[in-house]
Amino acid sequence: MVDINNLCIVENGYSPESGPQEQNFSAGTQNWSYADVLHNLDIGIIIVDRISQGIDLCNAAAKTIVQPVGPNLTFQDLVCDLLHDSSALFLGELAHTSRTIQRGSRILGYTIYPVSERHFCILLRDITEKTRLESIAQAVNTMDNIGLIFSGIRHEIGNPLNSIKMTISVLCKNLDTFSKDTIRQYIERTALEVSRMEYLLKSLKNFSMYEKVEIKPHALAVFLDKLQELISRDFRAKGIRLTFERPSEQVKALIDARALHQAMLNILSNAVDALEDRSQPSILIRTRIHGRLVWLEVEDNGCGMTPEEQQLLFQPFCTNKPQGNGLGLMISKKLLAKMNASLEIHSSAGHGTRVRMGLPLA
Amino acid sequence: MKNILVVDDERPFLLSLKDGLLAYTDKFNVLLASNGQEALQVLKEEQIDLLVTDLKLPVMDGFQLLAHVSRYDPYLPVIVITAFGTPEIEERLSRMNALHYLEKPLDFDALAQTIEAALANDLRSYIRGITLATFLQLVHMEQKSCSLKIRSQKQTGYLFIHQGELYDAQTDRLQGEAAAMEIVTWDDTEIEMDSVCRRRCKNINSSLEFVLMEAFRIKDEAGAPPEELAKANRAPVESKAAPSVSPVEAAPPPRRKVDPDEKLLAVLNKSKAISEFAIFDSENFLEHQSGPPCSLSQLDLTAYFPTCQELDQVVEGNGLRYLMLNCARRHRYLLFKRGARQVVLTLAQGVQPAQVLDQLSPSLFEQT
Repeated sequence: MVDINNLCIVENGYSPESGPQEQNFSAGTQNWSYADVLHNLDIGIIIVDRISQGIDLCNAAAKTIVQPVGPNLTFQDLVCDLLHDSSALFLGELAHTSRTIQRGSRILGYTIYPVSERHFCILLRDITEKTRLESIAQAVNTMDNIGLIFSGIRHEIGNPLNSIKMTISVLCKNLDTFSKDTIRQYIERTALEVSRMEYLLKSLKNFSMYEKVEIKPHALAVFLDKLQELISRDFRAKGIRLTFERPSEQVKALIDARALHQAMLNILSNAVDALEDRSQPSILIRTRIHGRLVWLEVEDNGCGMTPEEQQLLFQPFCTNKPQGNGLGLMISKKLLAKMNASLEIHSSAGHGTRVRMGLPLA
Repeated sequence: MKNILVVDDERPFLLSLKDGLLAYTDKFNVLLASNGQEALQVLKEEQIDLLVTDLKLPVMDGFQLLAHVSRYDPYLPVIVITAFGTPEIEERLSRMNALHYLEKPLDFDALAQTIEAALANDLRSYIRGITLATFLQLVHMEQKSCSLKIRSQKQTGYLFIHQGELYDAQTDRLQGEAAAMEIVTWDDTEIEMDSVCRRRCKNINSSLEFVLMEAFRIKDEAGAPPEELAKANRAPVESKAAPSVSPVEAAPPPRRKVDPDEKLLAVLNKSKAISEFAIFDSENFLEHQSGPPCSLSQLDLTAYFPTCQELDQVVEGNGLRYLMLNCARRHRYLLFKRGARQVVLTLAQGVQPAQVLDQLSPSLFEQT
């Protein structure tokens, strides 16, 4: 490892023009130094001394990315212009989290790592292009989904509409000959189809319900208690063994409890469907700390899915359930994404499925 | 009295339609089916004069039903109902006059008229109900994935379609686009359908529609256009209004062909030693499977046999008889070849492979 203090001394007297050969810090007998490596990396590297309020190191990439007003990047530039929130930097609250800032027309991404008691290292990248490409990819994805959504709606509304149209026109033609009972039967038939369409509209409403999520630190144990209270009776009635492995009270995640609740209900209802006609049906809900995330997992020993079925999981209106509308998982994924949480599904046909949500720890 | 069969999975729709069509009892009877498999059963048992079917159906979809009809009852007139479709496609489909096409939501009077017209036309003996071109357009329109095995006289070809796009094609002599161009111009085609697209790579860049148009253009330039051909086929009949013996009437096309594998399927379906089966041809095209869902239908058997035959030579095994897979939970799978065909069976508990192989004599697998 590089001794950072040593490197800082080197850096203070370093200018790219003087050439690497003149550096007194070199690795073994090789013709290069760690300073060369840092200097030539395309990731911007800035090392800040928070006590002396000075910049100990700023490599070429960092200069290109930040484009300071003067010839050198100053501590003032960095704090006022770039990071805005100097107190947060000093308190170390920003450490380890990836953040983005808008600088003119460009988008910069940076992460701050503490390297000693008084030093911070800031890794910096210009992610304008990457962000643009990502947003294009996302837009393309949404466009794909829009096609699916429209064809899905067309099918979901088209079928009941088709039945209603047929039922009403046959009823009209036979109004004089049909018995009262038959007429009632025809009206009921129509009403049933209308309620099908209503149900679809309700599902679509859910889809846009939590456009804005309110993210707050929330004790997962409390969240799971409430969930258990709500579902345990229903699960017992279905003969499904429900096991909770709760985290301690201290474990808090940054979530919108209502949105997570909705996502969990969708995921659990899939698990229940997968358990139909299985022997010893059981569902395990557990949490595990993983780095800066807490994994919330729902595991069932149900019928599982083939790789082909798994590919279609997040496609709207894609379902193999007679009563399903194929929106549940898509809604869940969208809700979780709004909370910066991930959703992964591992499944093996005939053995069961594990859904893993990665929630950011508070 | 004529019989029409209406296939749709929407029960309320079917019930209302059936009541509505009671007004036509002097002209035709209405039979109902709620999926492709039920429809096949009805087609087997009853003499049906017109098939009205939705394309999206559970258990066995409308495409598989149409493919089946193209093979075993090719002159049955068909009315296709679908939730999709554009006026352009509608126009093109209606040119091939044996297939009628209606879009959802249906208009009762329009449907009744179309049914009457289809029955009155009585094209049954002269024009195929489903041509390959119409079938392919429907596949494209509904963005369906499938492999199609096309037979015409003595030729056999394959089309591989992924989400309505042509991925690959193959005939005895040709590959890719050239093969596709040739296949789509074949006459009197029988279509077999496997619901899995068995090719992963896209070897054809042109769209399905382009291939169809281009192939017909080339065919048109070589001879009469398809519409002209159709008219020409019909012409002698029209001129023979007199009750003299028309050549067509004298030799009517076979009413309904019998599946050459019927005996084999009966044995497989009845056998208590087998819980599931799938039969693939040499190109891994799924020819038969046990009643859906069949967990074996996704397999690619072409991967296993060559490896095992190599192994057989190494150990001087004097010919590979079968492959047996023993899996967890006492699941056992038996894989073997019969002629060009590849068979995989899920064995029932406690059944010996030799026992099963004895039941399935090689003669059962011979296709006519």
